[in-house]
Amino acid sequence: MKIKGLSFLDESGLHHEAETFSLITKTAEDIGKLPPGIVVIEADRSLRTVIRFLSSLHRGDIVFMLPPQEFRNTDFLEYFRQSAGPLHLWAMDEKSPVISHEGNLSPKLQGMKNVFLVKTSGTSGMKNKFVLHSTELFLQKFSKRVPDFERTINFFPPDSIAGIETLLECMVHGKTLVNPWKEVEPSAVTNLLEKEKIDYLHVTPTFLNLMLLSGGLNSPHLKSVKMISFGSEPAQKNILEKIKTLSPQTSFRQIYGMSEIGLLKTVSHTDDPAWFQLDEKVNPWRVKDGFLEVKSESPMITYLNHDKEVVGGWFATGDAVQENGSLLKVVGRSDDVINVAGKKFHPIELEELLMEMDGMDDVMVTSEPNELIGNSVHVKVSSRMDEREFRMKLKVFLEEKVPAWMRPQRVIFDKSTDLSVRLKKRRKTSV
Amino acid sequence: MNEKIKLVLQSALERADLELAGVKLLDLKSDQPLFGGKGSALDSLNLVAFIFILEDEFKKITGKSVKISTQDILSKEECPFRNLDALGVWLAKKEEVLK
Repeated sequence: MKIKGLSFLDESGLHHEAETFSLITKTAEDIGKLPPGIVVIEADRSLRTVIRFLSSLHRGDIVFMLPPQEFRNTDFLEYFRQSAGPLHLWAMDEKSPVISHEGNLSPKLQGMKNVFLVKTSGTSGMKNKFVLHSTELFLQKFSKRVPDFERTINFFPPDSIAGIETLLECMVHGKTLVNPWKEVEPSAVTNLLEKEKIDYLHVTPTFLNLMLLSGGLNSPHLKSVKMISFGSEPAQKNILEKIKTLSPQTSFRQIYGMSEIGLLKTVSHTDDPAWFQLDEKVNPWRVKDGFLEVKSESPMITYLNHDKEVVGGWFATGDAVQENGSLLKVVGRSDDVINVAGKKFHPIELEELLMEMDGMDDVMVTSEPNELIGNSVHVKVSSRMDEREFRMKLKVFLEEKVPAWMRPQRVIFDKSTDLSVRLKKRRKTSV
Repeated sequence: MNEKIKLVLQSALERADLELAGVKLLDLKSDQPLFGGKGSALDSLNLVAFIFILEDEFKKITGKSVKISTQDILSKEECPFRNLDALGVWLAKKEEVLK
């Protein structure tokens, strides 16, 4: 793998390309010879993590980054080891990876070089799938693209596919990656946008809404931002419209991607960025029974702990989509369809309706099995209004605008938005 | 029906009227059909919502958790949700069992 280095800005200041390049090559040499195994890095948002990840790839290792809570969870590590084989654990405070397990490398990993693993998001604990990727495919993908930014924020967790792609894209093109060294919360990101003259921001729609509510998307903060991308979960049209009004000079783009296929290049519809177009030549796609299937430039090699047939390169995403000519809109996952007395809908459909109500700051729709009606609909709302006044207003809104079968059976009033560690709505947790 | 259960019912009816679309229960006479009969006040979607409210208010007022299952509603010869009188009697028995 050719390493160019990247400019990296963190609490300690700006580290230029030459410095990061030298750190990567020196760290790669310092590791020394390792027996076959997987280098598991305890990953935070520091330059140290970035250097360790890139230097391991530079050596041709099999690399897996884990956030501290999983790195230090012995049950989780044992679960991973059973699928993978011997692990070289590289804790924050260690100088080199420590061989902590012996055994045989998984047949799926034998002979593999310069590859990395990510785990799928969504379900937690012992249900994660471990996805194996070739670094070379990502580097080839980025070398064919001309990036339309100079400085971006490393918003997504470093161990996620979006975090890794952002890092590799910056590295291939020598761009500057700005690290939010404090908590990734709206005011911190807003401050970085302005202070570090960020021209490209990639976040989740939920986080965009939180920035909007905190006043972080007013024009002074967005002066330098030319493009905002959003992905990882369906985007609500109403939120995007509000942001477009506040910042007409900023372009918006829906990013489509998954741990298994990486992030795909898209062009968003100018009027409604939740609708997007995939480049047919790069990513052929088709819709089967309402669900998107796609070919990627950076498909996974395999799952370590799961069998899934990928016929002819078509990956069944499990994402339900609406089609409008060549445009697509993601409306949900195959497993989040709500079925009320035989009528089916996706949470995003009700969320979009409810966001039209005055005083509604944010909303999350989930469901629970119910013997009487199939699923009961649960809604968690966030509003700055008085609760009683809000509920009275909501009742009228439901009567006038929402079909009876989509109306919630339970409404939880809350001031906060429940975010997962990947900074998107935690739908799996029932409200 | 004891005072606590009367209070549970009253609070649940008030909340249902405040929150549930198309529902008006406060004016309902205690022997008028609540669920299941001709012209009943609740359809099955609203019944499920009303049950969530009832469980919340029961906990708030009696300090005890009650889970109202579909079996409670459908397997009885006489549905406890057929009217407010029946519901009050049934809730009082539930509370007695939980003592």
